[in-house]
Amino acid sequence: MKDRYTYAVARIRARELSLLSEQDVSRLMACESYEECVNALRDKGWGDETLDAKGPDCDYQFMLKAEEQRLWQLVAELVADREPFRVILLPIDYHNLKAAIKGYITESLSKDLFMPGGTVDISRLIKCVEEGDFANLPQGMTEPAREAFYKLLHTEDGQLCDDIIDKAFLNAIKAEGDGSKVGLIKAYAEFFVASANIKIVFRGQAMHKGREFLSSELVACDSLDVKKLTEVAMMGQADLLEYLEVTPYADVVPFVAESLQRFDVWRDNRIIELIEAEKYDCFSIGPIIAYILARQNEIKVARIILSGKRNRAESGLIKERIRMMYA
Amino acid sequence: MSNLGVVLALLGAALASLMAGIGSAIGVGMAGEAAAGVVTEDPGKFGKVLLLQLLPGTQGIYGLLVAVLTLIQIGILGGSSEVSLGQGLLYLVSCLPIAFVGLWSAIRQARAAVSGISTVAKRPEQMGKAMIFPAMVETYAILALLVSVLSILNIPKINV
Repeated sequence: MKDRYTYAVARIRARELSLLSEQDVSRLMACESYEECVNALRDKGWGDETLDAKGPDCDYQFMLKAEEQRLWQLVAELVADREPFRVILLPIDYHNLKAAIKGYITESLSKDLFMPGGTVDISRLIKCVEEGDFANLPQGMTEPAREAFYKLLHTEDGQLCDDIIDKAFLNAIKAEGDGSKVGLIKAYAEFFVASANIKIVFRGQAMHKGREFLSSELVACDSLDVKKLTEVAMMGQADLLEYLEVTPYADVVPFVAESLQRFDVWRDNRIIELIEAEKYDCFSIGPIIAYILARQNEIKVARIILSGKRNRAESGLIKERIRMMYA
Repeated sequence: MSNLGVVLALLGAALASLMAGIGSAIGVGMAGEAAAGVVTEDPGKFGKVLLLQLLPGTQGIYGLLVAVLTLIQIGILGGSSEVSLGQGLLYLVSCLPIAFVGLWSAIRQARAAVSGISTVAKRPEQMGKAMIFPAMVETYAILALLVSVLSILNIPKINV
């Protein structure tokens, strides 16, 4: 049924009124202290009543975690079937997989390591890791989980474990985009994989990694020629930037030339641009996905501001990490 | 089959009320889903979204009107039901504009009404403008109603 999201989208439209706007972000930036900033967010309805007991100087992570939980609670209320949202739930699943494997092997498993809202139940994930039997995990996760688990167990190389899971994660995102009929999911998955490839290449250059590393880490996508990307990466940063100029991601050049942190700002801003069109759709799943991405983006922005305010970082330093807002 | 004329005229009346009614039911239901979504988040907007929800309901009324008019004309609701085959066919054809346009316009109007409800959810002060867009679709339902009514009223004057 093409129109089965009519109720959900109408609720989302009403909810969009409470999203943080650019003006709200400016107001938060103008706050003189961390406590003032927390209070401003409380006035916007952020956090829950437990925060009032903790007071304004409490750890902002509680507030952000409460907001994330609230987001997934709303999604669960709106749509019973989580399958169409897999593309945005996969990061949570693969993060939780990493947390479970690393936490178990380093004997530091704790509830705080996990993110809420994924498609794979956390207790099921932990059970698989504890028993060393990954067959109960979703298809596509089983093999990389087993490989990452035994590699970490035998080599104690956390980076290698991350690389295996990250590659599997990107493949899963790509497969999700390819298998979807929703334009936004296709575009999001393609952009997600392409931007991840760009980041891998620049990170690889910074860490002086060779061709073999890039070939094993990059994931094929439609908008970037991965072989060409590897070749130019081997030639140096100038050639890499020159190549990117002729791809659909030419606007990344000034950002990535500056730093990987600025690259992240570019990537998040492009995602917000990507979801802009969903503001005018009233029937499909697109606006719901857009709302989730917008909420995740504003939680990220709030984290940047709150952490900056708490650590008394310079205003300019915080400002250059602020993302574009959807509202 | 001496009453084939009446059968055809009745078929027309049935089509008018059925198709326009189905269109309105789909339309009001669709707009109702959106209206419920907005009211869940903001019960204060009930009055505004209710108006938008009701807009696709008019086609069903038009279909009923044409059906009742046909029933009166052919004598089923009072009088004698003597309708020739030719007249019966004319009644059937006269009912078709509101039947088809009613069905289609109600669904399209509902889509415009849902969009209007989304507008009201975000900008309640734009209620007037949000009403105009779905109301424009009504024009074509009214035109079809006019054609059907004028035809039905004038069929007794034609000798067929």
